[in-house]
Amino acid sequence: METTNNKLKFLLIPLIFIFAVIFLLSLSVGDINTPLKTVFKVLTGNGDALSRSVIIQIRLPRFLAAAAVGSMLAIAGLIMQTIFRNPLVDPYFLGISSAAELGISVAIMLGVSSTLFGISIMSIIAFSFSVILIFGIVKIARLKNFLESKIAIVLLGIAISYMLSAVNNFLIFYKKDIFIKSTFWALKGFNTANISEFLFAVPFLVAGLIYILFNAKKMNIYLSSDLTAHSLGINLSKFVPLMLAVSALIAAASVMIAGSISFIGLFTPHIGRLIAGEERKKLTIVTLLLGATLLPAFDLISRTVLPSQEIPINIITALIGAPFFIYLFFRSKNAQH
Amino acid sequence: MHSINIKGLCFSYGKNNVLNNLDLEIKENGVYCLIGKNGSGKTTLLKILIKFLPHKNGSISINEKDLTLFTLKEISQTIGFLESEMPNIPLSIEEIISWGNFPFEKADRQIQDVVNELHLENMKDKNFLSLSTGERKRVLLGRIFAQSPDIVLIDEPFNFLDPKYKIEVSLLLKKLGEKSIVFIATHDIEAVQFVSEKVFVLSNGKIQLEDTPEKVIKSSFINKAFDIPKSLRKKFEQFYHIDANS
Repeated sequence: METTNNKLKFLLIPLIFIFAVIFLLSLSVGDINTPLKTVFKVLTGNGDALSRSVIIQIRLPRFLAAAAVGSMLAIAGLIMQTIFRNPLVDPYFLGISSAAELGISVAIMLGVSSTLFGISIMSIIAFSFSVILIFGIVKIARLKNFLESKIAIVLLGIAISYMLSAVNNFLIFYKKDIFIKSTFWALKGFNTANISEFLFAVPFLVAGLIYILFNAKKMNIYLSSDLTAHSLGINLSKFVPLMLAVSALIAAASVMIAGSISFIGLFTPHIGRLIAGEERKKLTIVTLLLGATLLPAFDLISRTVLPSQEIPINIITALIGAPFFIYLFFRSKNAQH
Repeated sequence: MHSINIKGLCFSYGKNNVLNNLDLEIKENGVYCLIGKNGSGKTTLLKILIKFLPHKNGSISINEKDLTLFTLKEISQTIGFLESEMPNIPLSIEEIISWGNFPFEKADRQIQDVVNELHLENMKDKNFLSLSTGERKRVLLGRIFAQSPDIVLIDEPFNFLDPKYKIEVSLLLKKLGEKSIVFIATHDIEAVQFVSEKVFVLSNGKIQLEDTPEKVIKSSFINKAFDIPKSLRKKFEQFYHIDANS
């Protein structure tokens, strides 16, 4: 076990270094570039008023939100890929983002615009719709037949996603002004990130992470097969729905902060695998750090690549993420042969 | 001493009766083989014994305790199970062997002893997927050694093995059989003769015959058990060097 811990430390040091670099760049670079020296001053409680307000009130909450959402999507994706033993599923495929988007359309229709403890009620409604969907899917997943055939849950997720999108499109068709507002919400990224939403969502990440780390051995065994997992004492009718619920709750909380962000939940666990291998404890920690580094890095690009203009983060994650993913895929295929 | 006792077991998939009033008793440690043609219910019986499939009719007791009273955890502490399909586990050999400890929730059971016993010292950090089929089987058996259960159930342990690994796996099964009841489902007639003390022939949902491998192989039941048509019987006996008249 000593060697495993040493290997993990060896992997984590460069990752933490890159995370720190992205953290400092995120606080330093923007429309007003702040020298690193000033960033350090502000972080230690000094610095001028303008730099303080830019860094503490705008850039730091934005970085924290991006880092939290990045690690949430990465972890949620890793759980989904483990449960379905399928590397092509992502955190949204059970319809979480479709449910949230429908929630937003309903909230817009109802004319909701106020906030509760600093969190927009629209976001809370979006989160609630996702949670209702999760409970529905978990309830269905507990039926034995569905547990035996994971493909049935996948099909169910796809069907529900389409159904919710159809209802959402119907609402948009009826009240066209929903369209712009809901599209903006779905693509909102970290433009409106505030510390209250971050504080609401983080406990989901922390609780989920603790649950995963305590169940890492079970996840390793589960990779083998249902039959082997059962024979080693893992109660699949509890384990699978619980893991689904943990992943879906983390994903729903991330959607609440930033809308749906493509690719991060799909490819971050893959990069994690290339670095840490498949052992779930190591892979979870590495994937978490990667998610917390990659999404703020993409956010940094989205707000700096064009002068005085921000590109929706989804465009950046897909434009950079997709080719990178294809490259990784071919690299790992070549490595296997 | 360990035991398996099954009385009047019935099981069906929908309307398809697979096990029909099956009786089976094993009272001593050793290696026991369950043979029968494809679809005869061998795998189903093993799945019932680990409670992966529920049994409604008949009674099963393990170590003289009714199977229905076992919790899943107790099952995993009492029974070691290997399925017939070779799993694609992308993890290290040491990790897979350590699963033997999982049902007992403690890490102090000696994984290293098993690694040494099975001569896996030089490969314990290797990825399972990089191994040959024979080596993989050895690692999976290593997990069973680490688990050291009272009962070992293995479905088709000789599938896809070359002669060297077939002998090696047989010897490991015999070693396991010194301390446990090893009950394997197979249709590898050659290996059955080498490894087992007693053979159970499963046909039409029942144990039709139980005897030493020599006697079972020479009995007319062997043709029935594997559903060998009359036109092929001579070839079958030549193939497996069976002298049916002796």
